[in-house]
Amino acid sequence: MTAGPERPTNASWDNERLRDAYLAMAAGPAPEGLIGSTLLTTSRARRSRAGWAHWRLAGAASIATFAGVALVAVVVAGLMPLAGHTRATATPELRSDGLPMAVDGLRVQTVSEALGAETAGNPADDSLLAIGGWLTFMPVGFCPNEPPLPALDESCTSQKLILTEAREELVTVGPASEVDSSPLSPYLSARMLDGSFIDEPPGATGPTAGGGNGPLPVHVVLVGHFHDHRAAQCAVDQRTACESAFVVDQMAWLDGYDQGPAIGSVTDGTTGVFNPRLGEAGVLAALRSSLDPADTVVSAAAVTPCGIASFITGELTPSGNCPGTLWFVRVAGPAPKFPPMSWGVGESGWMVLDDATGRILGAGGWGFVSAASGSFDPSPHPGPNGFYWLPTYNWLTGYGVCAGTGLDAVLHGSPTDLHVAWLDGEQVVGPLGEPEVVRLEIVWPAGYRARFDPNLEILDENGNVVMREGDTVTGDCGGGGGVDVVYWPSR
Amino acid sequence: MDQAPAWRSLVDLARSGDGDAFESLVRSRMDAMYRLSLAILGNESDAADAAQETFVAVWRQLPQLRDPDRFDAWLGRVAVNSCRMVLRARGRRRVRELPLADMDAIDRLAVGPVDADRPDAAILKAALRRLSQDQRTILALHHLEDRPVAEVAEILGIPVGTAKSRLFNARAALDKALRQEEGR
Repeated sequence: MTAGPERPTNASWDNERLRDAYLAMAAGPAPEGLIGSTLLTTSRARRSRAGWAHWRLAGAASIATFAGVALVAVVVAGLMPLAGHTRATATPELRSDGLPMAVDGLRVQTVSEALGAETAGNPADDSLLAIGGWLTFMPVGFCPNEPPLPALDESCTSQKLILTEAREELVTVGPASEVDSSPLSPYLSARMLDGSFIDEPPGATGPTAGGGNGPLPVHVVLVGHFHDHRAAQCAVDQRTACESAFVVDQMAWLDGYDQGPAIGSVTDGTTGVFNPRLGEAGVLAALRSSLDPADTVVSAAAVTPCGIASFITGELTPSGNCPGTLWFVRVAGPAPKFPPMSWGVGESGWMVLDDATGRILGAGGWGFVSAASGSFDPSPHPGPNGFYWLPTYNWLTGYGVCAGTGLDAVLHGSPTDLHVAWLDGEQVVGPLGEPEVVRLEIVWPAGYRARFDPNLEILDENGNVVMREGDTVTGDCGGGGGVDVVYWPSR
Repeated sequence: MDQAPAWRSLVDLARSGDGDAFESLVRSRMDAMYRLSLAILGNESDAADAAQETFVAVWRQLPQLRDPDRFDAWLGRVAVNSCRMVLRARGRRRVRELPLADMDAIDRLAVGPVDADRPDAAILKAALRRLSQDQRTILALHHLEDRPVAEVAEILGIPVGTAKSRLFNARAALDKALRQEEGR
């Protein structure tokens, strides 16, 4: 046993020791300049007499802490710092009911429209749809320990998200009681499952008719889907209800403002808190060059490899040691075209990204998985030491000697370009057959990177410079890239 | 220590738009709000943002304060809300809630040498990371700010009895987390 200074036992964490530790933890004063910058900011701030429009007392704490009696919330502390400003932006075009016409490229439906369509079998898959209404984060009361249930089964501990067509206060909190009411207008009970996470906005709690603080409805558009694959895990007699459950992927719009993608993390109960390397900006950067310009990233969740299978196929989550972190990203819009991927039917799908490398490991949609064995690393996002990721296929590893012919092109690059490097090649085009310089896109072998020193240099997986700005390219290897896509140029 | 009378005159002046009075309020309470934010959020940068947001909101909403004698409780309420806003803006999201049984499994995975010289502040900081934001909030209001339970309840907008039970549960969770950290 190591000799050391005697320290109090854990039993001696009394209030005095706790307070001393608190004070020591934040012993210093506020950072220098904070008072000055605060006074400067307030001198420019308009004073409002509108009351607590956006600052209602967030008793969301009360709701979450109810659940905290039996549950422990895990906070991800290590997400990469995101932009230091709110991502919300004002929505330009609104309908007569105050909802936006569309979000994420999806037409906004009312609750009754969505329920009617779903009953009629539309959509029959897990395509994303946008539904507007009034959302109430219902309180979760004390829950007994429950055996594990399928994700889509109703359980005591699941957060109830009630989306009503009309504004209704469903909870009345009095001095000594709380009354929950059933909605009078069309409503749906939305579910929040692993793979996405939405926050309670500050306005979701405030003074209720009974005088006490409780949940208040907030005007939102939710993007989500019916027919989640996890319905397959439900008991037979619950299957229909599970198929019809609306699973939320994103709170896309809140009270006049677009909210941006929902970013979250999911642990699987064995790894605990984990710290994904990529934050929101990193995920978006890694996807940027692959996504179609019309695409919108709806949500991105950092997950362990153990958990991701259930999102995609509805399989039960395997147990065991699952090192590593993946990102499960839901996208609204056309399937990526560079390199080509597919999500089968529908205008939405998902992509899986490796947190460590930024590579896209797979993409797919309803019952469809593509590129699971291939891998793209398409981001021009600068990596460590100033390297830029290039679009790659990982099955091009071990390519050996390649001496393709048939090109007469010159390599160029720019750190601001979507694909970082490209070829300018002469092609005979036009009615008169005149030669014209056209741009050709490149897919590189796995591990290839670019840097600018100051001109473009291409490095292979071992860090050797293999090509430079202005190099002449005479052929390509790998093939299959189509007319305007070159797989690994050769000289 | 009751500073309400001194605050009262400053609050009255600041409500009517007196910039000097408001500056005095900021100077007298900034450190405390920064400490509270730090205890809730866990890092200096976020705490500074939250503290600044607190006073910007106070400046904007001060004319609406109905009872200037309750300024300090109101300030705490605004600070707690600011912490929530900062967390939201930073994209740090609470993730799925795990049953306690799962947390035990996580605890078993905790590894690291026992450090007998680890200061209490470091142990506390690490232990707080194991708690939810709501638990950190109620603990900070009571044990750092020394606010009575009734005032904590007022700040959080919950009945006193509820505040007591939540504080009890949060303290139990903290004790467990402290034991785990001390055992590392």
